[in-house]
Amino acid sequence: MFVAFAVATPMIRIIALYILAGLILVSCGHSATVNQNTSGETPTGDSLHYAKRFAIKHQGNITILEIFGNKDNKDVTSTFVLYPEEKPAYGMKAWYVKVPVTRVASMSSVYSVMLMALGEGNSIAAIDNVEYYTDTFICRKVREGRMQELSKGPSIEVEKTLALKPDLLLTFGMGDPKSDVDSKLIHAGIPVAISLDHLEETPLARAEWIKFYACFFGKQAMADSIFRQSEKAYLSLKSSLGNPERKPKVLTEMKYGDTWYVPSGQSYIANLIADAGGDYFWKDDRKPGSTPLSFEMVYAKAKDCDVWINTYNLNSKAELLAYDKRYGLFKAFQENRVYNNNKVQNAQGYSNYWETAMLHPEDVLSDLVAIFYPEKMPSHRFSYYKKLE
Amino acid sequence: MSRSRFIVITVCLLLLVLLLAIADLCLGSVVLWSADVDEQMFSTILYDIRLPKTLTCVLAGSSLALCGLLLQSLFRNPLAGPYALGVSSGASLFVGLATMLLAPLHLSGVLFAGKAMVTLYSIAGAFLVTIIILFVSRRTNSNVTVLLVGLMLSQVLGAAQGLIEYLASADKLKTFVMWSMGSLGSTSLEDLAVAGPLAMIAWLSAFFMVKPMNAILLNEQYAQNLGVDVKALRIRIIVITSVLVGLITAFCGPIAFVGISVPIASRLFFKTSHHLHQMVFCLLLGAVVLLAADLVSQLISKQLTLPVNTVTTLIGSPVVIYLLFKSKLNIR
Repeated sequence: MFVAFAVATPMIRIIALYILAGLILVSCGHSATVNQNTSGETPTGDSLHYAKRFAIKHQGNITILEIFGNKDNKDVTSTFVLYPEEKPAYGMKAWYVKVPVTRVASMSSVYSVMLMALGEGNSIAAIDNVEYYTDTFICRKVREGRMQELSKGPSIEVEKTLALKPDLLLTFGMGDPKSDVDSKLIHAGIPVAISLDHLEETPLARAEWIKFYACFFGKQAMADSIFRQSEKAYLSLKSSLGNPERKPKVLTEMKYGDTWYVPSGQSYIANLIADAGGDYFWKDDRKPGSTPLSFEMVYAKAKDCDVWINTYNLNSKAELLAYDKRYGLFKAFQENRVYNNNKVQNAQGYSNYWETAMLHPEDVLSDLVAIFYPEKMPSHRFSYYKKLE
Repeated sequence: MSRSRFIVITVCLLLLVLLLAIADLCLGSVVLWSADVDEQMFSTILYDIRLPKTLTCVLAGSSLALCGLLLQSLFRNPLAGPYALGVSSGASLFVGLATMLLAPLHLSGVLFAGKAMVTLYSIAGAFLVTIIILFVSRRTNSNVTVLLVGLMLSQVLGAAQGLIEYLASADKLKTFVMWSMGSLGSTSLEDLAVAGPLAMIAWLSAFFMVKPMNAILLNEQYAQNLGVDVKALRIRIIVITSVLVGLITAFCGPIAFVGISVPIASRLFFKTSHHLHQMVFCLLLGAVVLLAADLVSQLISKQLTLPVNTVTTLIGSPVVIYLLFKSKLNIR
């Protein structure tokens, strides 16, 4: 190769040098590993027990966060190098963020609640849309103009976000890193953490994301403690159920147009039902995501359901029937065992389930256990679920 | 067209509707004659799930085709139809208003403010747009202008709907999108017991207009000379099309293609412009088209029902284009 380089014309040499330089730059891109630092130390990883969509590594007082933001594989789609003092001279392409951050734009109520659990409510400078919140602290701050809303419509207001210039923007993606965020924000140098926490398959995996957010505030120990508490309560309740002889058969969701999107047997809700001792009709479906089915397919399989949960935003059986009278054909409907996760709602009808349930899977689990086995928890006070009357 | 030919075609179309309806009842995601299906499930799937859908196909297909015929005759233009003139868009916009902006004024938290309320809004939207189109048609002699105004109106209404969707909360938007996808499978026999007689009254009213409709097809002045009260006829057509489009749109969501293409296909197939014949053929052919579309959607996917608009447009449009070219683009 060197001989060929030596005998090449000056123009070809220049082109070859450019190509070589390009290759070097590409290799230092986003997919670069964390070993490309100057210190030569090998980073040590935090052991995450459940979450599969991010990783935490430490190198001295530097924390390196990796997000696996592509729904089809486990490639690292963005890296955050969090430093408390001096910015490290690493060669890798990453977001270098000085911690603790003090101005965070949180584009989902799930993240906001996790930040507040870490005692960082005052670090939230902006949220997506206050209509999705039941939390009084957030609502009050927005009302008083001390917290901005960046997404009143379906997309983020880029100019407002650029003007705010947050230290960190937390948002969620659909698993396609190229289109999951407005590139103008990236070009403006705003560190954007695009999470796929909603694609985690177990409730504890979603709750474990608090460890991710804690790193930006140097509060890993607090996050560990909060998570351990949830985990302990969750696992203890799960194991207390043993292996019931007769598990209630559970149906979820309702149809959308003519299609009933049925969550797969590996989904978050399927795992939650299994942990609560329920028998989910599609537990053996190993496909990722949801399967679209016709009404009669669902009816044929689940007409004898003992319990029906998660009926969109409905508040009563009458509303369910107003939508489609044939919902009344299901056994759970006839036996008055339809439950929805919207016990606490704000003025716009949004449930607190979408705020706090991810942080407290133990509360969701205990609600479901009380629904599936009312005799085991006769005096249970429901946190999220209510019976549709 | 001779009387005997009319009877033969009508009987053939009736048999086709019957055949397709039976096929639609027999085919679905669940095989009704398998060992897994007990008597109770068989009865529920057949009578509660498939029968209302089959009847809805007939009702919606026939009604929209008849509306298309009436509008095409009124405007003396084969491009007129509930969708092209913005009548369906008007119905959609008003349903959008009802579900996304005005919902809190009705029953709070209910997905739809009751089907009756949605139907009223839908009819009101359709009525308003037809009135506007008619007003424009009185101001100009050009049918092309009327159609262009209809298309523009359709765009404006679509944009207004887009704006409402943009401003609506995710929750209400989801409700509306669910409706706007168009669904033949959400109506129950109880719904049909209300919608069916209403639609049939509208169909019957149309049959009382055969003679004046034949007259205005030639020329409005000529019709007036024959003693036709053209103004009253216009109002009757507007009321009938508004009720039918509003009713079908409220129950099934906006359904494209059928309203404009079935009357065109009927003219090309049966070579007649007599309104008695055309009304009968459109009613039957409309039912055939939607039943066939529903069957195709069942055959394409064994597990789910594809959106009706997708199937009717994907399969129907090439057929109409073929017919147009075959007849050298000459529609009577």
